[in-house]
Amino acid sequence: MASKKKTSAKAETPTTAFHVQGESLSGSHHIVGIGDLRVVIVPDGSFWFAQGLEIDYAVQGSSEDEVKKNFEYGLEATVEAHLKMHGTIEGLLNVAPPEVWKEFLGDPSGKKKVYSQITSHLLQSKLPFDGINYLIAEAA
Amino acid sequence: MADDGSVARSIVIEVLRRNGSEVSAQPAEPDSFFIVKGETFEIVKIPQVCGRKLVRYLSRKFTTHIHYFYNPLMLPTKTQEPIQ
Repeated sequence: MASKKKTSAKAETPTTAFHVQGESLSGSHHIVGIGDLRVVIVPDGSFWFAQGLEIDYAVQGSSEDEVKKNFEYGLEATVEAHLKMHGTIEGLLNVAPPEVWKEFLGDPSGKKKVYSQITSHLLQSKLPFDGINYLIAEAA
Repeated sequence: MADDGSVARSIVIEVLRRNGSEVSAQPAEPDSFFIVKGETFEIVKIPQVCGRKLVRYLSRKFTTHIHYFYNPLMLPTKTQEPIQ
């Protein structure tokens, strides 16, 4: 799984997502891009909490930097899980419910970030070894 | 459970499991868990202590009543046997 990520504080452009797929001898290659996803980072007691708005995904961290890292790792890992199980990311593309938007966009302590990532996933269709040697016992 | 609304990881996982979610640790990344309930699944870090907002998020996402996290004794019984 390779990735290129970017987090910034700007932008009011619409969130985008794409997924392209190709096959080769080594397996199924997937490129997934998520662009300009709005993520609100708020303090939560002694922790930090990051909530995605256009994609309903959230994580906790012990610092602002850690919560960003956890969000990036978790979203990428969840994308890969969706690709393995369904072959698409459609099940991930759920917007957070209105009450979540209201709570987080209305939080004066919230830091609004815009997050983009492009990830490459290789799902192996072959066994990760040459083959299976079946040893069949002789009939008793 | 603390006054700030935080809940220990062991309780969070137990409550999710007892409410129909499957939770399994991801060995590749510390504190990372695969959680699935019905068609909903994701990989998320569950730290040793979960803050109020993370608890509310997991409660909402995996349709588990929030009060169970703070009153684990109210959890449904482990077995599916009807009470005689």
